[in-house]
Amino acid sequence: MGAKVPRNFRLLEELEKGEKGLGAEACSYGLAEGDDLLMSNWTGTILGPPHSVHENRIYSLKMHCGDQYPDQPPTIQFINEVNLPCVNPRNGVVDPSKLPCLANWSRNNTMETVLIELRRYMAHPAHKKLPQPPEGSTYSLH
Amino acid sequence: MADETAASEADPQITFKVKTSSEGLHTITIAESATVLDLKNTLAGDDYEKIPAGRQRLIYSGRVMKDEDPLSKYKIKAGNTIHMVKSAASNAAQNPANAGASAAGGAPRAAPGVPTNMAAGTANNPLAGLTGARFAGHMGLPGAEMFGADGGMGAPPSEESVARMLEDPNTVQIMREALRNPAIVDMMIQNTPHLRNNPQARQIIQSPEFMQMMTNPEAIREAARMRRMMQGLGGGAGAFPAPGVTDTTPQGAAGSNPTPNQPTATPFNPFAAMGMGAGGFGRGAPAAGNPFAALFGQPAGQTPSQTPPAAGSAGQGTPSQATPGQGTPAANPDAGAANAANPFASLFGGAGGANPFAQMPPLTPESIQEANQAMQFLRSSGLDLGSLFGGGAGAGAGSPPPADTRPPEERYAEQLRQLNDMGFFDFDRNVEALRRSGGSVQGAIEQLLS
Repeated sequence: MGAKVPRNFRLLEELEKGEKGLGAEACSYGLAEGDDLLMSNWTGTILGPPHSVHENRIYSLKMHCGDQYPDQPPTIQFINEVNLPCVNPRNGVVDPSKLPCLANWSRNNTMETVLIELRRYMAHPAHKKLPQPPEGSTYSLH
Repeated sequence: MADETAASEADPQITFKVKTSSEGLHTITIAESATVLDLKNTLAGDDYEKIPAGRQRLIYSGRVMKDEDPLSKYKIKAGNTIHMVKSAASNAAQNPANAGASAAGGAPRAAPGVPTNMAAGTANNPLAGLTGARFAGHMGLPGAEMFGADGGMGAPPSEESVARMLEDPNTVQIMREALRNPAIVDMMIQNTPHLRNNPQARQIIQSPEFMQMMTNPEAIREAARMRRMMQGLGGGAGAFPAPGVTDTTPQGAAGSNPTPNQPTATPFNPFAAMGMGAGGFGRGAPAAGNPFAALFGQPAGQTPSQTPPAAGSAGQGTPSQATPGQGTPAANPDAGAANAANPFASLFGGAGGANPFAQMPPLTPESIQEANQAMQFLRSSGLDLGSLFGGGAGAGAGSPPPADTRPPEERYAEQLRQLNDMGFFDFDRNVEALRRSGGSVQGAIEQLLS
């Protein structure tokens, strides 16, 4: 599909999409600090999928896009505590090997892709009934 | 006075959009120094969402906005979008501070017990959950492409593709699961008059034979072959009465259109096909036994009729002895009479061995009709099992929607415009995605981004 989009152009595109709310309803994302010129640190939210234990919960996450993004996937860390097999229960870091879109990362994936995939992961029949920590609890950040 | 004016002029206003979960979109202009709570109170007003501030949650750019923060903290740019999500009433109740805030906002609180979100209203529908977003990405569920182009609104899939679909163990699994769920079966029975009056309905629906009938790809292929055969012969029969016909009922009409409901055109409908077959053949069992009796292998004559004849048996007027000869010239016309309990027996007269139907229970017009109704009910409940059979399948009623022949730029004009607004400029890809999503912009975007 044509030339490779450089990292910053790509991130600017994603930023615009996130701020204008053009993407999926249930996920939102934007820069953690508005003056981050390198656009490395992002925050995202996932609206808990309906008909699951996550219904009506909002999960906040931190996303870090390294220098190699989008050739390399972003690192994802939950801020709100969540009980999911792909999430480290101690610090909320998402294990890339356990989430297919991170394990098989492609340049075409975006942070939105990851958020949507995580939401699907929550809605997966095997995960949607997992007991969850109290709403609003957060991982103690180091 | 002058000072105040100066102050408000120095206080910059921002204009942004608020998008709600119910597809509402509001454009709000408010002072940057206003707090998030002020914004929520504005949104709680009658002009906007009428949702108490305490139950609103606002998300901008990946952050949940806190009530006490000024809007300026979030650096909202002009024209950007804030998402608004309703929280459940229970959440608001857990948070007395929020509840107080909503009272202060003067917005009416929802009465206790009144369903306040979509999910709450579907408690008595066991199928409701199946349509929820929790099935997004569920590996077992077939994708939208299985419904064909335009999300199934266009030409129906060929019978070959339907049969292929049923070869997918996942699809079969889903249908089995549905039929195994007593709640779903109950609902099917309660919503289908014929089944309601039939004490054996539950057994029938849950019988392995019924499941096999619905899920056997070979049966689908066979039905398709039969349908083609019947259609071809139906016309001819109108002109030349089959030997032995004593009735003056026009054969073409009876054979090719047994009920006003069944689609007469090409869409593939295994039941319609069988219905046609059975209708055209007439009631194989003049004894008019329980139509399901055959399904259980009982002699038809022994069971008194429990089900009123369905419309599907319009072909009844046709003497049964005569018509089988029409369907399979090879078959002995007398076979239908001899094997009265099984109208299909004669159809397969010569070809029994290789034919999958030979191992399947015989079908009667009524059983087909009721299966149709059951399928239809499932469709109307949101679980589109009928569509698993392709476009018009399972729909005894309702002819297939006429194919939209307008060019895509006309048909999807509005959606294409929206996609363009969002920055998707590739016309061909947009049209392709819209076709796949059946015209849904949201679905098309997902396609474009995947």
